[in-house]
Amino acid sequence: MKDVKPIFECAKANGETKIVDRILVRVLPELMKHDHKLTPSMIEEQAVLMLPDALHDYIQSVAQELTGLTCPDCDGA
Amino acid sequence: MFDIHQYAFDKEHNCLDVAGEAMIFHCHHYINYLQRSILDAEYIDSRRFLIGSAADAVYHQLSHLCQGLEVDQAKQMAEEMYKAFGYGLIDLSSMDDAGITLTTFKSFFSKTWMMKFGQSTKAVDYYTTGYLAAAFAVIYGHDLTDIQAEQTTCMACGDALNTHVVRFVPGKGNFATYPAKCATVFNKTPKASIGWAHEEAVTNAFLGAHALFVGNEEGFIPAFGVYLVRNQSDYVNRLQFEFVREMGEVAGEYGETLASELLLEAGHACGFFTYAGVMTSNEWNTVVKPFLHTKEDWIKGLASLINTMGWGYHTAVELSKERAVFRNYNDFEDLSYQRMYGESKYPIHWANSGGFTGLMQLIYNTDLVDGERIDSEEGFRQMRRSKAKYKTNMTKGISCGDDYLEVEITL
Repeated sequence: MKDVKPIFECAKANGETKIVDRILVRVLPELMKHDHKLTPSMIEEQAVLMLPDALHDYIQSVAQELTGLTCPDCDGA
Repeated sequence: MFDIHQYAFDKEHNCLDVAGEAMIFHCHHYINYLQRSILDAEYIDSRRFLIGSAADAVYHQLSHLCQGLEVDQAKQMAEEMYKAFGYGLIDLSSMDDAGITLTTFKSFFSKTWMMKFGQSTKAVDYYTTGYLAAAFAVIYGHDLTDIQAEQTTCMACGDALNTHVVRFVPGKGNFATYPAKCATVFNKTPKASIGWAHEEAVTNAFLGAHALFVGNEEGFIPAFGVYLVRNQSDYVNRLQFEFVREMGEVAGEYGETLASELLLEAGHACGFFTYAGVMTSNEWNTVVKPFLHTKEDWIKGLASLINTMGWGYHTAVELSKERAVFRNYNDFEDLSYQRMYGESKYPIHWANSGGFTGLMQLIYNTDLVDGERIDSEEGFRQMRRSKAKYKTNMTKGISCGDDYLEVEITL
């Protein structure tokens, strides 16, 4: 399990308005497969969001694609 | 042949009907954001409704407009309407009863996608593909279900020009078609007025001004720092409704909520950029600004003006920096929903509500009233990150059985 919170934090800091929603729309089928219903407010409120490794890595790749950035500090977008 | 001046603005319902289709302006920020949000959901076969929504609305409209016309006249009508509405330029001279391979250098969608997002990996002018399918069907008497249509090159992808291929393939249509629509039912509830002494003066000054916004020699409508298009309301709204429906099929209420947030954001961007352009224009400075003394006057002035543009009757029943309650009587989204889908279980007026939120942001969270305008994507992002965010709560909708659209916007 890996924490996806830093990915979203980094995307928010560097990406466009509603980047979190865009990422969630893109990864929706994978979230559903793992029975996770992440929301922007959940991401905002929780300090840590542990998800299976494969799902974490997928969210990371989508975040990187949508923001066009890589952020070594958070190993996220 | 096509002349927008032939269609009278309906002052009672604040709308414009052209040959059976309600017409509304949108800016390139809105329409591209909407389309990109839909395309982001790659697991949905959105191509079918992106083309089908355009084809359906245009088919109804051109069926009326081309009644009794010879083939060449009907082609001219379709070309002129397309140009007048701001979508670019099309030449239908090579169309015959088998179809057309059409190329063009002037496309609103390809041009403005590049302006807003840069290069695309996929062709983006679904509207024109649908428009051409509809024109072909009307001119040659085909059914939409017998037509295959696709865009094969796109300037937004780096191609030199756009190419659309439309063919008659009986029984093998490749885009969505829809059942017949109901007639528009206007709500007769008396409107709560804007409650501003200068409303009538401003509204009267801009009545008829919508007809100034027609495509130029390139088929584009640059105005207020954005590119406008005059959409068939049912086309653009069906995109929203089908997107939410499909997202609901993938993930139920969760999917619908995610989609709704992006639709609100599309409206927000539209309100922010387009209203800012309107409120820094020469026309605004000349006609409206002399009446403006408070920030609330700015909002009421804008509502008085945009009530002449065909989006319904906008009004504010509460208005302060911390909280506002806006209404729209006969808003274009609800009327469209009712025509095509009937009753809704929840409010569906995302574009209107996002627009109101963008307006609040502009007036209370920027220095627009002091003449400083944010007109860049980066400026917009920075402002959204750094300032307190308004929350949007869609409380009433005509398609839900209410008498008007109502939205509450709070800090």
